[in-house]
Amino acid sequence: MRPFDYLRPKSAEEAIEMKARLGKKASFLAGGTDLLVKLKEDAVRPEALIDLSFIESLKEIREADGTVAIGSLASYADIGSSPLIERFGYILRQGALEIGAPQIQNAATIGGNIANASPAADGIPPIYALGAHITLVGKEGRRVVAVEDFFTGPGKTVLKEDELIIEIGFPKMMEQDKGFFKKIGQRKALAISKASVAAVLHIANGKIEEARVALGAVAPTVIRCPKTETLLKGRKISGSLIEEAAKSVSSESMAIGDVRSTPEYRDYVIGVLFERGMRNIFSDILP
Amino acid sequence: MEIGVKLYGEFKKYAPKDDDRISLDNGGTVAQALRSLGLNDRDLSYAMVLVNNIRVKFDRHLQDGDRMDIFQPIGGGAEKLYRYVGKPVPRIDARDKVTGRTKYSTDLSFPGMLWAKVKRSEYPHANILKLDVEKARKLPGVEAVLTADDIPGHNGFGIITPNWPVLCRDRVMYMGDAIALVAAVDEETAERACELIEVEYEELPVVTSPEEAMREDAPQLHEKGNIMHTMELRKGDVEKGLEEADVITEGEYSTQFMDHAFIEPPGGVGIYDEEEGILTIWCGSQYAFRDQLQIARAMNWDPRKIRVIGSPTGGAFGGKDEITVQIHLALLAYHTKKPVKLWWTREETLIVNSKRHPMKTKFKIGATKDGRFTAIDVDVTADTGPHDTIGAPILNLALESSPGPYQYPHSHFKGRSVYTNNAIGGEFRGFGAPQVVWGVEQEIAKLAGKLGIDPIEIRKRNALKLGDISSLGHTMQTSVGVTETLEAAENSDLWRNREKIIRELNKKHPGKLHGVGMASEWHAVGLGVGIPDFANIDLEIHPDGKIVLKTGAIEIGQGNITAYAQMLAEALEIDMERIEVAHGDTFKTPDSGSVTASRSVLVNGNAIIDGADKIKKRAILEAATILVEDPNNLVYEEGAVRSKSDAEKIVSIENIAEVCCRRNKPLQDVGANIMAISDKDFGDGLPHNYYTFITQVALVGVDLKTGQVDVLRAVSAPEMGKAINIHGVEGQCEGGVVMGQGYALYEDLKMEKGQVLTSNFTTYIIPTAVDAPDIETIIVEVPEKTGPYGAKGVGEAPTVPITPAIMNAVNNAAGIRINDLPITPEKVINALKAEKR
Repeated sequence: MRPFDYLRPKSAEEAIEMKARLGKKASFLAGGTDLLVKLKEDAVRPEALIDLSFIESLKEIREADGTVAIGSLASYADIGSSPLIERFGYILRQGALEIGAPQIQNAATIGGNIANASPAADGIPPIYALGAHITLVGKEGRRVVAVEDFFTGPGKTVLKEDELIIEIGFPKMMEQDKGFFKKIGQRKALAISKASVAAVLHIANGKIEEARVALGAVAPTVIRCPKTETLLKGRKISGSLIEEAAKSVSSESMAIGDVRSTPEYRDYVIGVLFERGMRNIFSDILP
Repeated sequence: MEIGVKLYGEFKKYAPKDDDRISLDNGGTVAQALRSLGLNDRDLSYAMVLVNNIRVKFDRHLQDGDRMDIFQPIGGGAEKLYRYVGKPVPRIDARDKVTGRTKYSTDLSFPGMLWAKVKRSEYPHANILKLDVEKARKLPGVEAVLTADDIPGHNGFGIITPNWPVLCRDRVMYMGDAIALVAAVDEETAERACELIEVEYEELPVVTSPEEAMREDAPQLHEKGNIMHTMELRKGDVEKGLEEADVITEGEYSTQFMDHAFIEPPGGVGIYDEEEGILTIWCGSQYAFRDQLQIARAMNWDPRKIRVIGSPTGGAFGGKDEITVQIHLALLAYHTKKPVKLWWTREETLIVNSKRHPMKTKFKIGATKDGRFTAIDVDVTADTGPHDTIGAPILNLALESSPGPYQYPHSHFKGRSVYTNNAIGGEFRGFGAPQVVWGVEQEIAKLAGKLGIDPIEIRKRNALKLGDISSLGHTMQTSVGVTETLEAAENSDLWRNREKIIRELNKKHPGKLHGVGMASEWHAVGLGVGIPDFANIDLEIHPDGKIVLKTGAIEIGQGNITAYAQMLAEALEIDMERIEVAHGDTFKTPDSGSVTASRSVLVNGNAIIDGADKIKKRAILEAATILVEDPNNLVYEEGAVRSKSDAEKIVSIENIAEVCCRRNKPLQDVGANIMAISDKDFGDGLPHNYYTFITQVALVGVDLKTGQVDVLRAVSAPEMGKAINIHGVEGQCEGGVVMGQGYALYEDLKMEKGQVLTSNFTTYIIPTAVDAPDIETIIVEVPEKTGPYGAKGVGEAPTVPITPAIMNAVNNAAGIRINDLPITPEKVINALKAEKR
């Protein structure tokens, strides 16, 4: 590991000020579960780290006007144990509890997970499916970006040099909403996803009024499944619909091969995950 | 109240004098009666009590006139009763290890200590055209930058052939090859200095597989060509044997590179004491005395001036028998005259250290209709990487292990170990056996299926027995428990009730199919014919009552020092708490050979018994002068020497030791043992004389949609002669099962054009606690008369047959077979699709 300056701002404003001053030379440090590994491997060489972990205001999880807002410094342990998330965004809780192991969940933050922009991040498909917005603050001011507009490639986002992720907000899942997160890794725990899927379905009069389906680890970024969502829209839940939609999910998957899996398996198994998730949440109405 | 008592066996010594009754307070319990007789906690832990001919628990209240019979439970009637041997004994190093008090070599730190880093190759195969270390030397904080020019002795190491360069001069042959060493004031400066070392390479074609290496036009990696070693063994006429068969089965199996994944990456500290001229190296190791010689050869030094301290080592599994950091530390400590620490990163360990060889094995086995094997033909090709280390004996043991513990009238075994530019194939728990047992145990399962014979039954019909001529042609002259382990597995709950267990699980988990599979193995113990296989120990009896056992055997986490203490306590008939074990230090302990080949309990155990016998004899002679008694009328018992005729004449060994010290002849002696060898010599260390036998059973669930295989339960039934420490055997079996599960399902050091693609634990996947099955160990004992207390060894076998047992279970569940490890979900899905077609 190379030497670096260590800065500890007391507020988001101060952090942004520091980043604006240092530009590319500095990196924000949140939980460090990705950044420290990269530092150790010499994959990044920041001259300064701006440690955000003492900014308490960024750790809050709160509700406001039909939405839930998660401070970017909330850890996945915070998210996994939040009653608000459990009630209004439980698919994110399911994702949070599948990330790494408890030690990693204790350190890793949702903002860091998003900024790292891995297509295999287990925290990201749930926020796609929840229709989340990401609030960024920079020297120029504040802007709100829809989650699917935020990521531009593996490790790439629209974040500007001086911008900090402040908050992730999403509309509350209501009683008529159902959803799930499912992943498959190389072992039962402490595993990076080979493929993951999150979905939220708005049900009215026994029909799917709206569906949001997001896939992880099968494209350069987490992706939505527009064809599958259209296919589901207005349809009544049935076994055959789920099978049809699962095939569609597989067809929308664009996986590549790496040390963890093959493209064929990923494209195939993501349909299985989707089907299982759907059968779980609709077990009461399916035979 | 009055209670009648009768004591048996060793408990006779507690019998009340001149009476067969004791008096006890009314309402007293069995426990109180036993205490009043003088039985201690240890006696109570294994005593068996009958009251009025009915076996009772010790909290039973007695009544006036009851009659107690107090026994030691006698297994089989003939077996000697032991106080410590064969008991579940907590490890003597456990408390310090779990509380963090134990200092491993990589925990050590000294004032002014430097950090070392190794500059390694950037290509899997290249000529070094130019090496410039000047910039690195000039970096502030750098104290030494060493190259091949700075090696005073032989620039190479290797257990068999020392052709693994300490520092490469002209050519690099894999990604782990070392080119230069740096020592600097801190780790970061050492890293920066490595970056400043300029190497100009000329890339050479990369040999990525044995098949490629054996082509005529392949680049030659060594002067002798690309075949490092070949071996061929024959018994009878394999063609004739196959002709006599009613059924023949054939298959080809391949395996992957596997990493040891020990918890402590190789590392240590080196110090050069200028005044004394002594180099001291603390390091993870399996054999400090061989390290000492390998360092001496490279340093051109007197080995007596090199002290290697290898204990304790944070896990080894074969991966620390070869040199890792030792010579580099010696060079840097000598050059800088300062303490130097070198500790490989996990990434470095995955790339540099030796691995389990990938092997491709072809099997052809014939059997008659009634399931008798007629012949076996085996052909093995191993990828040994660029340097020899101990690759040749590993291929040999693969051949020896390949038929399994069965009789075949005709056999033919042929193998070759081939150089490539991949990772280095080296020593790893199992030593060539896992690669071939993976295949042969599937072939036998296939045969059983074809013949409609139960898989355990077919193995029993062919099981080796004591005195048999083996499939290789040597005599099975030590204990053989093949049938016994098969029977133990057959009688396990999992095997007996497998159909019900599978039915219930299939019902409970739709979409999954469950299955039970089994496999067996014989695993050689010891180094084999023609290879020096010995142990020395020192014993000291101190006047304060302490008894010190010194052994060169290193504690690598396997629990051997506890087993040694148990055996010594048993031999000297003293409390185990009195024993202190010093281990693994070339200046403080004698050479006991390597902790390898499941050998250290057998050969050290015999040396301990030898040493204890000498101490007892000497104690009697010394006691004769103290007690003024004819030595022939003296007997050693329970840590004391006493007169056979005069109960008053008794002296404890610590008192004898005190007198000996005063007389300037301390009560100490040495013990030694040389391992007995086979009646045949096939050359190159084959065959072996002692074997662990083991049968393992696995229960798996196969997810038909995702292809994931879960191992839910596992049973191990090892036969190791005699279990010295029940906990130790269980620990070896539990760890072995999980390691074999990793080999079966997850672990794969993936290589592409000589590059390691899985160089950390996010990509090199080992099982976690959540993945591990419920594990049952059924200890099977067939005592071996030449082993200490009947023991052989058990370190390696439990990781071997579990892998094919898992595959046989997958086959039982889903009807598929996969011939190349690991059994990933991707392969399972493809096999399921092919099966459907």
